Amino acid sequence: MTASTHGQPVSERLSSLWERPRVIDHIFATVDHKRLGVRYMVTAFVFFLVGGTLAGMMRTQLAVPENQFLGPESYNRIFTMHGTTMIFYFATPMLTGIATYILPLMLGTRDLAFPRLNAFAYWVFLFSGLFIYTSFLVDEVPDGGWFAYVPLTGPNYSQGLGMDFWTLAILFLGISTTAAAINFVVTILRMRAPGMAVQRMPLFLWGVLDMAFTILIALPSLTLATLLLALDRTFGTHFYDPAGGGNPLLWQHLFWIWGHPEVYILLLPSLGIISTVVTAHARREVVMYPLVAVASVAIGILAFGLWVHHMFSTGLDLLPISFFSAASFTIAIPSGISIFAWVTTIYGGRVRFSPAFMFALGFIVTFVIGGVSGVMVAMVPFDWQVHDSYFVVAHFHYVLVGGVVFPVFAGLYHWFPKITGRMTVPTLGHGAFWLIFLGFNITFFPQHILGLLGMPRRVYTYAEGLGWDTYNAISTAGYVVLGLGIIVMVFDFLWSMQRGEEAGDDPWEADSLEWATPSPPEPYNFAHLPIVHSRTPMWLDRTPERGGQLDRIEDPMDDGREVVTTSVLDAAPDAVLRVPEPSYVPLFAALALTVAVVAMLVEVYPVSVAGIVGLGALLAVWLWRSPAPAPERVNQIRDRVHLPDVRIAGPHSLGRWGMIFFIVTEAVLFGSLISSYFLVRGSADEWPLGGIAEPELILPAILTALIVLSSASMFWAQRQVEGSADRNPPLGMLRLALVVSLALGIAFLSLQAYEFHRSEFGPSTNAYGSLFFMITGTHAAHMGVGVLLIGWTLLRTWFVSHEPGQRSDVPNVALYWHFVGVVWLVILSVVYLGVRGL
Amino acid sequence: MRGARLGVVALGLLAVPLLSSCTGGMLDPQSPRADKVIVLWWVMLGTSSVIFVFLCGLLLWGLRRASRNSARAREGQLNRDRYLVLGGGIALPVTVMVVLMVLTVWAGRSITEAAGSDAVTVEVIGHQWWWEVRYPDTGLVTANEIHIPSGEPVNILLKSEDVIHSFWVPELSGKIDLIPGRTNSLIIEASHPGEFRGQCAEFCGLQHAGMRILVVAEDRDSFDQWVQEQGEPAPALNPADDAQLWEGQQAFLGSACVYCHTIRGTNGSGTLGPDLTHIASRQRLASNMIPNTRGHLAGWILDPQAVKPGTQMPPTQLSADQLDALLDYLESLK
Repeated sequence: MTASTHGQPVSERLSSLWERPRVIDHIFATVDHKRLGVRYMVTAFVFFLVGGTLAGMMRTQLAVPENQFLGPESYNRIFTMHGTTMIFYFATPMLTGIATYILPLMLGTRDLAFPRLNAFAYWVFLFSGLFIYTSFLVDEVPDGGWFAYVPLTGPNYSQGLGMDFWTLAILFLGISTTAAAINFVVTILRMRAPGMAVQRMPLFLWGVLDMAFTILIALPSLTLATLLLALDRTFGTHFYDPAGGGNPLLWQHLFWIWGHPEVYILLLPSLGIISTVVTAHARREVVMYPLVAVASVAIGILAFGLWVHHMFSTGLDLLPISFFSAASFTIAIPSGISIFAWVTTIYGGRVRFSPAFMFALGFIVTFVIGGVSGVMVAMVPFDWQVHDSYFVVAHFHYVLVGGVVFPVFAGLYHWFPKITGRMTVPTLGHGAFWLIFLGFNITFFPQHILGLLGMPRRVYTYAEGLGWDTYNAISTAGYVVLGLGIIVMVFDFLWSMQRGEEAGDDPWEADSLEWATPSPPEPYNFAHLPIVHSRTPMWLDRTPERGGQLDRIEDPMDDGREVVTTSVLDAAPDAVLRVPEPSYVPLFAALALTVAVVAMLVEVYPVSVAGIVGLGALLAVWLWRSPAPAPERVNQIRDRVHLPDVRIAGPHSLGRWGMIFFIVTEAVLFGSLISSYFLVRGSADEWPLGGIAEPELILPAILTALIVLSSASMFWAQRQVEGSADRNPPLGMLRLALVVSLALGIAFLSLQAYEFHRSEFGPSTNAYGSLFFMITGTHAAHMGVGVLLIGWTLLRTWFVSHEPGQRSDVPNVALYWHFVGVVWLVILSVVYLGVRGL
Repeated sequence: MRGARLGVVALGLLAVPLLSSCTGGMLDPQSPRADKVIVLWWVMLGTSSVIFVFLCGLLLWGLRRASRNSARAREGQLNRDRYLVLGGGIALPVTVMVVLMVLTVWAGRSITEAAGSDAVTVEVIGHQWWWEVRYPDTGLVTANEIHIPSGEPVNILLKSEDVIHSFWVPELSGKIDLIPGRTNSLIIEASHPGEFRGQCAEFCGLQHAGMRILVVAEDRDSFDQWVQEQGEPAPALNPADDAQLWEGQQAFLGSACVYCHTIRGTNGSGTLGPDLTHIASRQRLASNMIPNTRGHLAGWILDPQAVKPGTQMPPTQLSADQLDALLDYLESLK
């Protein structure tokens, strides 16, 4: 046992730093990725059981023709909530949970980049799930399908609160998903163990990284779609309303630009789990690693070229949809590479038939069926037949159950010993696998045929004598087998948690760093942070020269909750950071947001505003002071552990990276909004609609001048901070620059308010008005946030002192402000100049 | 491993009878345009099966080897790995894609090939939850039952009055959506006379399942005759000669029926529900949910919610005599 610099044993010292003694702190204030990861997994699994029960009710109803078990109203509610639950509240959070737990361990670090954000994301997910399920208590359940096509879900055809629950819950949850994605990207890019260069990253990390990027680029489209729907429903705007000049197909474009990539958002980390499980249980590294890693990236990129294949039957022209058909094919190449890489790996490996490996095998077989039926539905003429039929239901269950649920189960069986410290019971695991695998196929294979026979999706009943009866009955019987398998699996987990055999650190003799920790891991993960020299450190790094141990940073990094950050490509250590302490602020922030959302549902807007203000105040507290090690401490580490490039965390800290990816996702949001403008404009006979005059240009010219000047003054403020790495910034000049920016920002907002006030049309006049106010209003809201951030930064110049070179708030806020300025220039050219044909 | 092999064999055994026993629907096309899709389907199914069997075989063989492999002797594997991954992951999908893309363009073109200028045009307008059917050439209006001449391509124009619906008659054609604010088109062609069922394929609310449609293809002469008959207004009634029918007509005009339904030749000209001028000529009621018999018609009029929960048709209060007369009258509207 190494002695710490503080005179007590390292493990004791680290434990006292990384764990609070009070139970209540564990429950409500924890920021430990392992606790939060388990919470994510358990919560998501409960949603899985609920969603599965809903599926059982549907299968019961459809078991025989003309069944009276459920009426149309209940059936429509149940299939809506089944899809919503499985996609939003099971699949995404379950994978998020696994990644939350595994990522820091596999990376060889002690927590995620933003631990408090991680806690916040979990609470928001939980509250969003509870929120949408309260719709059952008040008997106002969403019933417009998880895809919520307008106009059926619009104000004219969907009365009651049902779809309001849905839109608000999805918007609410989006905050959690985005937060998790930013956290994963920054963690993987900046917190890998020293030496874990990109070409040494385990494939699971590639999968999670690709997933997180795909979320950041795809999710804004869903956010926008649901936001516009909520506005149409509540405030009478006309984005989707053909009578007001809107376009119902806009919803389908926005929904599927997110919805298709969502399949890959779920698939990418799942493929990563399969690579992990195949490597560990075939005891051989996945062959052609670079190609498989590139395939994972390629899937994430190609995912964005496919959305129109959900819209082949909307009457678009044959030529453009043929393009999307060909594009859909191309995804077969990276998928094929991955599949053949695993099969080849197994072929030359030394296989251990553990339950985890069985689920990986089940995945390969099932996913191939889902893949080939996917190629089939990408063929336009065939899709015209089977689109929205049970063939498609079968296809995407093969992809999502085969491609996501089986890998999740494989991952749970694989990492169960690490998480609980105990082994599962192999007999139960194999029994569960065979029941689930056969039950799944018996349930869903016949549904292909039902589709070919003409059975459409989403029907609560069907007539006798169409040849559908037998297949439906078989399908329902399969559900029972599948359900039994799930029960056996749950029993296995619960029993093994208490009484399973002791697992030891590394029961699978696996390749990656999580197996270098005790099972379950200590709160601080690693007593000494590892340094890696190969792609499979547990296999290749523990050479006799290193005494059979991993290479490591000798300093235990126990002067506070310390971690090392590394460079993006080479993973060379570049800074020492402190991880934030446990905090109640994330929980309270999530609660404030919940209050705001619930108040929006019942249309008590003052309470909503109060909730948002509360959230803002909590965020200001949250970000007020970031922990950083003292400069002497960094020098000490630099000298003692021979990491000559290690610096103090400053503008290059993780927050900067977080801001960059936040801006990426915001840019996509504005991009989607501008695209929506052009889509509606393209389907309109005149523009602006309804004889509205084109906007005048004098006011926008003044607004542009204000925004450009404010950006310049923020740049000036930035120079004050960045130009002084070795001395404290001249505070007077900094404050002056910030005050000028603040004043210009407020002037902008006041003038824009004046423009809105004197406008002859409103957001509910027609679709042009809706879009005009939506685009300029969203931008103004961002300006408002920017003004608050500048004010907050200004306050901090008096109250928070920084070491030289450490002030990261000004550059981060400036970056955001420049971004909002650039967005304005785009708006100016589209909404003000473009409309005149300039 | 034996378990894995048994499992895959069981799966194969399950698939064979399931696939070979299915007939009807899109697998039993009754249209020269739906035929092409079937060619595409069998080619795809064949290719997919070969790929699937090959992969499973490779996997099983690999598992057999891999459970015996020792840690040694992995030399010379590198080339084989590379051939398998590049061949299976790149060469195979690219080849399959090229073949399928050619087929899909061929099928797509012939399906969308324009009909001649003299082709019959039918306008289908979706409502929650029934189909309005109009023949713009002759001004004829009916509902839920489309008559077309067999052996000729027919233009179908698709519109919606409310939400998105989708027109799908699998034996004749793939589906195209009915979208408010847009007109989509589809060409269908029945190769011989017959009746072909279909139903709405885009979720459209409570009674999505109950929005069914029937296409009746008949030879040109019968079709022309049908058009002529359907074009006639309802016969004028004289209270003295046809007292019972006249009573029935009064029941129709004097009750809530008239607000939503049209019977040409009377004052009834509501447009929210189907045109009833020739209701007795239709085979089924309630958007093809129930047969068009006297008993079903009576049940439908008195308590539509029991037949089709959620339907927008309200129940109608009638005395026994009124109902009897109304049924006689409606049954006379051939």
